[in-house]
Amino acid sequence: MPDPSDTDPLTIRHFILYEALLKTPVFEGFKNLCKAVGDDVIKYSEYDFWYYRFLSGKRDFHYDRSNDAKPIEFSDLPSVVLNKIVENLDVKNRFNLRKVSHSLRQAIDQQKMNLELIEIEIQHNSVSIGIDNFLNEYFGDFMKDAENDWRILLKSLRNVKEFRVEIDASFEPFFNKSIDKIRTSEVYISTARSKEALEILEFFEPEILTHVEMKSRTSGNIDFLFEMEQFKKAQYMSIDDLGTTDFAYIDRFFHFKGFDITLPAIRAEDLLKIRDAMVKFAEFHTCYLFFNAEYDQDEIGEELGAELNDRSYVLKVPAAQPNTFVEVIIDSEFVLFSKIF
Amino acid sequence: MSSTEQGTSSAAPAEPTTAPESAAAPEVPESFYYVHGKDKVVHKVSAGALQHSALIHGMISNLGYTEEQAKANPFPFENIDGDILQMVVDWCNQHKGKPTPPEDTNLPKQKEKLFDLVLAVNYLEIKELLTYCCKQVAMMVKGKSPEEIREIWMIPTDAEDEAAEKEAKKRAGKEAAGETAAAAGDAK
Repeated sequence: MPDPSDTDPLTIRHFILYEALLKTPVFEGFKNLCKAVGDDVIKYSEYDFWYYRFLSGKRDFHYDRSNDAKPIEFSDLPSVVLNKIVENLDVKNRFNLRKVSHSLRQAIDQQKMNLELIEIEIQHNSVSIGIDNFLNEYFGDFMKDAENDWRILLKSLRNVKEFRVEIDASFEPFFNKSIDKIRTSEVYISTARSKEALEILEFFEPEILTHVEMKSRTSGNIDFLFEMEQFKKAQYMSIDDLGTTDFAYIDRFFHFKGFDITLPAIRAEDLLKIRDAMVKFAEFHTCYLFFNAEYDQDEIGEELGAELNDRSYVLKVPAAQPNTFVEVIIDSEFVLFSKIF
Repeated sequence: MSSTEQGTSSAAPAEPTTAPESAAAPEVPESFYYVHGKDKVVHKVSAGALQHSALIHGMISNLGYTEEQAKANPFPFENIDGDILQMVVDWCNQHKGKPTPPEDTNLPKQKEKLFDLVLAVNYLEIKELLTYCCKQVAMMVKGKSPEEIREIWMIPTDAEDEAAEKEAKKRAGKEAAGETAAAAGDAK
């Protein structure tokens, strides 16, 4: 319990002077004072006034504020100013500010943000949401908070460069009909089953999406993917860990700049078809093929007339574009097609 | 074209029409205007510096004042404290005709002063300075918890807000009832 003389306004001002002389950051000094003499002794605004007054060299401890005009409060600031203030805060600070009051919540929810990265990991007993360089983890009773924060985040999102989704439990509370199409250029999706990855992919705006990487722990039928707008509009597709691609669909991949897929088995004629597509299409630059069935690397290499170079067979042909080549590397684990300039 | 420019160009000697456009413009005398705040202290400010304020710029564009007229009719900003107007005028002078830097570290850090400045700058429509001020206000709460933000900006909780609103309504209701009773008394 502080001595009553410690809470006398004049004494308090001397305490403030002490913090000002030490140049203690203003809020830190205020906290120090509250800790020493009690929380209700002085309001922050009062502390702030005297602190900066002393800092500017004025030492008039008996200055009478009663004749000063009523100070402007935060609530006096017009909404245009409020919006501009919010613009200067990153997502973590905006989340804190949302919890302060109804009017701030409104100001924040009106503003759409452009972010670098959003990550969500949904487990049975926990959820983690990462936004740029800030990560929030939710367990047990706080799972509802995760749903709420997620809803707010998506509502206030304009664009995000990269979006990562890792799902091991029901995603319905986080990805459902109530959310608008997410605007990102790169998405990475990891799920237990391939069907879930395709369901998640549908939540992304196809007009913006260029780079898609998906994987699942169990491989399933992915034919539905080839009908999706997100597939048709993308430029890069990595699905070798998602499921097996039927070679009958291969023509649908030739608009990509690159793709990684798993085929049921290797066939020399299939490799030649992909090579010829890369020769023809200027934008098609890279392709990794993996195979479910094991294969004889020497047999395929020789069938294609490729040269053995170290431990891989290499086939190089000129592309349709000047000074450009298509190189096919037949490794024991994969086949890589790349354009060389 | 603003009336100030019209005024000066008519006073300037006629330029030869063959002069290349890239030639340096002739030095024209700068026009000045006068402003005062709540304390009635008059500040003389060049039209160039005042261009930062969309509000004042709009006002002077339509006036076509001569130097004498401008001096005799300072713009009164009774809602702005003298020291705040001084800060604004200084800022406009310092940034006259210059590209504004990405940030300004010379703004007041004291909350009340900063809020006063924000309101004045918003009113005077000085876009860049408003951006700096809002950034500075945002810095006050960066890294602070919701409770700390409430403390710094003196924001009541929603519950306190609702209680205050209820109280105000109750009071208004009582006053209205009092007025009705008084009116009824008068009628009698």
